[in-house]
Amino acid sequence: MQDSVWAAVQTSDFDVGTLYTWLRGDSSCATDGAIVTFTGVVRDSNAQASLRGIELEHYSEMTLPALRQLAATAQSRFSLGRVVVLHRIGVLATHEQIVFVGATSPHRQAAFDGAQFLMDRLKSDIPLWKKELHSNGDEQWVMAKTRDSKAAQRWDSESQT
Amino acid sequence: MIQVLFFAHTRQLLKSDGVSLDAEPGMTVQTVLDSVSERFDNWDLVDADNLMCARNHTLVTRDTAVISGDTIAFFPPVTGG
Repeated sequence: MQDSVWAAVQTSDFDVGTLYTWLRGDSSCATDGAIVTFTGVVRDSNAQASLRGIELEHYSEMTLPALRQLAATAQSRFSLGRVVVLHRIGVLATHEQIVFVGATSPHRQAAFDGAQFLMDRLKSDIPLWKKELHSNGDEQWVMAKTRDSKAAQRWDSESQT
Repeated sequence: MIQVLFFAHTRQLLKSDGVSLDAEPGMTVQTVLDSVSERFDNWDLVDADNLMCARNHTLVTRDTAVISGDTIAFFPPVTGG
């Protein structure tokens, strides 16, 4: 049976079409009726400065296993079919793709919820850190945002119900 | 022996990738952090209250027990995505 999780950490760019095609599958495997995907892209500015890009550091021994665990958790919790969770590392220029998540399910709500869960938990639990590279040559670590931690905690409270 | 690792802003502030500690009975992630803090003159720069921690590549809380051979990582709240 083909693996139903595609988890990756890589310096190279990714092709959304290839990932989507994998999520969609073919007639030889069970066909889900819903596919939801999200792609994150490097912004060209923040509230204070113009950016030329970002640098992403990670904990290499932990990141991929943590992504696999996250994908498995999402699959189990939302009864997802296939899951993609892919994150790039290294130096990325503005407008480059950073992250992709995708989820399939028989119906749309679980796929939407699964993709949202994957992104919210990725931003709170996976050992990746962004450093902004400003156009004027300055560099600044990105601080975690309260809204991101609240978004992740929302799933904790919903799991109690 | 316990291997302690730092990442991102924490690594940069401390100018260190990590240190090694002798294991002691009853150690926890918090006592490891306390021991580490005494080794760095510039520890005050670190926002220690908000550090995340991992034991052997899994996120843990500070009351988690630590034994010889463990790898403990301390890092700022993550910002991927």
